[in-house]
Amino acid sequence: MWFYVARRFNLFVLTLGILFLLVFLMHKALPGDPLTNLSGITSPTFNQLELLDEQYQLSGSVFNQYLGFVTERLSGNFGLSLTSAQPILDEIIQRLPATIELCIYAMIIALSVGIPLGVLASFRYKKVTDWLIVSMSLICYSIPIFWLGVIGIMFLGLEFQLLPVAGRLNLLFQVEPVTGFTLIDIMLSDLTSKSQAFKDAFFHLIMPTITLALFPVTVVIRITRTAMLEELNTNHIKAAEARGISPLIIVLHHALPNAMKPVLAQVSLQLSTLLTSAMVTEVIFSWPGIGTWLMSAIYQRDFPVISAGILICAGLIIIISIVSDLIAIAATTKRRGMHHGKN
Amino acid sequence: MKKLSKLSAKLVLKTALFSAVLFQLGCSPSTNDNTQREEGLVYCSEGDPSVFNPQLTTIGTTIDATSNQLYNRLVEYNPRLGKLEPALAKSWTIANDGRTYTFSLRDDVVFHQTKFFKPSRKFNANDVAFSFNRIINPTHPFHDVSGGNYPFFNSIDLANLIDKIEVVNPQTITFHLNTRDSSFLANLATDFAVILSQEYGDYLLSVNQPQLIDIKPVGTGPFILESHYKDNYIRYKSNVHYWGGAPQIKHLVYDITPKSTNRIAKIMTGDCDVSALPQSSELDVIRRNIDLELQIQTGLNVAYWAFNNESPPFDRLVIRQALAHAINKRAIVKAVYYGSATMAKTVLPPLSWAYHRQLPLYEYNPRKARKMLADAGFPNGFEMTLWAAPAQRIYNPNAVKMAELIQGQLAEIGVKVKVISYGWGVFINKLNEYQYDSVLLGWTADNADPDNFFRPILSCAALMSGNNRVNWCKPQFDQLLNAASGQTKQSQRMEFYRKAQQMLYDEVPLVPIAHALRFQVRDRSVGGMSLNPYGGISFAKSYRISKGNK
Repeated sequence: MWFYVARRFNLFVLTLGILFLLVFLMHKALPGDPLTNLSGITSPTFNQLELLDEQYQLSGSVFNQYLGFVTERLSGNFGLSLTSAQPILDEIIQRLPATIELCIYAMIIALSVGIPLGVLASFRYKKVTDWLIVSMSLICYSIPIFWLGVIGIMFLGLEFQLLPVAGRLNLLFQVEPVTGFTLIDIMLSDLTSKSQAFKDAFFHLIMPTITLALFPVTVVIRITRTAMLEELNTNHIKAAEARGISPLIIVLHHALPNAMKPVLAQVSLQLSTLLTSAMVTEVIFSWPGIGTWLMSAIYQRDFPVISAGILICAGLIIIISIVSDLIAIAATTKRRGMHHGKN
Repeated sequence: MKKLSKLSAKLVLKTALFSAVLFQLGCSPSTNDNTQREEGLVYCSEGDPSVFNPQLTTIGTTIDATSNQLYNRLVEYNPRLGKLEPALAKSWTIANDGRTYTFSLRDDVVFHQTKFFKPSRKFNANDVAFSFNRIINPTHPFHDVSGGNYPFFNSIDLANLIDKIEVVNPQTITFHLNTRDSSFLANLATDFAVILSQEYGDYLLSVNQPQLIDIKPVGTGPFILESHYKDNYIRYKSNVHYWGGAPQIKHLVYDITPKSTNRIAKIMTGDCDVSALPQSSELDVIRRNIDLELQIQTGLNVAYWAFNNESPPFDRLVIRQALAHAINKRAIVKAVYYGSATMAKTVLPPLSWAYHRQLPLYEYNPRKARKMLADAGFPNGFEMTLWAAPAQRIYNPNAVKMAELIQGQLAEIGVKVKVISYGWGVFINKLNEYQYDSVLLGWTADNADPDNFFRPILSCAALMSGNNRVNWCKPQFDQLLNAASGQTKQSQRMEFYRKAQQMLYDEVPLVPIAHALRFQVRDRSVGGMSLNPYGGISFAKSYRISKGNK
């Protein structure tokens, strides 16, 4: 097990190193002054120039420059944004919680809707319910989310005016961003009408969350269904049925826990897709997260922000996938002795 | 297996119930009568203000967020009556020589009390002197704070106009001018001529943070700045001690929404109550919605295509004339403004009293343009850059689209156009380097004086302050403007402004394209919002109409 952890850690460091290298090379290839692109300072004074030269080791070899770049970024210095002249790290900290919040709710919906439907489909294998669920999930799997989001805005938002279409909360509720998670912030705020604020935040959440959740829901349904079918056909389930144990117990205690493992492993693989979809969803619903931020940076050619965005998003995905890999290993007795992470 | 199917039936039922509950929740819209919302008002603005002091900028977005909300001026312009009205000054007199203006000030005005500053005295003449000395006196401790550039005041050359500012007593202040200037009062009424607090300035100097004066503003206006989350929102609260009577709106929020479609969506779903600058293409959607009212105002603005007159070949008159003949303004008004604009003959809109009616429209004639180019030595045309900002302005709803149309029209006469575009902030900065061949820009009047259309964008002084994007400085033109403002009779001034317009027509330093109508959308539950033809929006008198009366 520990050997495996060490191997994973090794892989982690190596992947990050390559990621940094690619972004570093991107900086070299970008138009404009490389120092401005690295630091975000447009017209540095002499003192600043000296400091920057020392930080990014611009007078050294390319390898030294790379090391300087990695050191600065790892110590949290992402430079300044060209458009707002604010430290990029602060901007990330402001916006990342919104993205994470959206992803968490979408994941909760994906699991809480996807797993029951998957289980249901496996019960009714090759019956109408099964066909219905499978075909619906195939249709939803094929719907592009930008289309779904816009259709939602058109009908639920503009035509019937049931749901708000942009932002996280009606701005008249004065909620200070403490944690960056709307619901927690409302709880911490000193509003007199918290329930109204919760309701408003909930309404703002509905469309983006459903839009974002739709794709993972279909994935979870299909994986759960397959895993359950396999599980329900195993001998120990058949034996349990033969002994007359109630179906509820069989499903909850015997089949589902075993079927969950491939589901969770697959879900963790979906996280990178989720993050990408979250960015699209954010732009559609003007959700003030990393996605809208990066998108506007791209429009405005704010190179320091773009490179920081790449580092943060890619870094986040690498960390999540390695952590979920480790959790999966720790949870699977069969694989604990493995050295290479293969089955 | 029978039990299994029973279980599945239960599951189906539960899912159905769950979705039914969700649907139920979805059916009651999020607009509810609760006090938080009744007392507040959300304005969907199109952009983030660059600074919280309108002295420092001429950008409309910043003016909208600051001038009428946080500050006051000595005098104000009443667009309905077409004359100046008292504001912080109760009354004023002009001496016979036309160069001495004496204002008697209100004695009941207090400055904002904020988290970081508590005023100990009321507004007086020292604050007025402080605010204007900051602009005109280079040795003033605040002159160079935030860059030291006062674009509007530099363009009207206020520093040379004002000889000195004399505090007679706390309630009286006198401006001594070097020359007669009939537009002086009108300029004091612009959105830029706001009054800051001297006491706050002294306090900031004592804590060695002078830059905060433009970031954490203290003014006398109807609203107090509470917080600003860049590119997201600005919060204001009402100033209960406002001298003009506390505003009925307790909380005012600017929801910064750069995309026009998003603003429309927000106002339709109730996230906003008033929205800025709807696009012409969206007007039909707004008109069809019974909850919304579309306010239309003939705008005092102009969108123009400016040549960099110093950069060859645009330094040659014949080239500029040829390009002006190649532009089909009618097509542009139709495609970019969807007809909600009039074609422009000159920079001055037809509304203005100084408008030169006899001036002909530059004829659209590509054949003639091509011939002129060939005669000038460019039979195969040439390449040029055309800069256009992707931001939406009052005078131009879609500069990039306009640029593409111009690109197509110029291709007909063999001129290849490269369209260059940056975000608004970067765009303005890059313009200062004068690297462009031509640029699409515009101007919105700050007051009713025609001087306001020429001097801030076309005079030699404006070239210094960076507002003259035409890069064109003609002393004769400035003389005409000076001669006009030296007169007091309208008919005499008109004569000079006509000559100025004729000169612009003959010299073609820029091609005026269109005067846009101004639009604003508001929810019908909001009252007291008038659309001002000059300058920025004001929420001082807005209120909510309660649901029963609606």
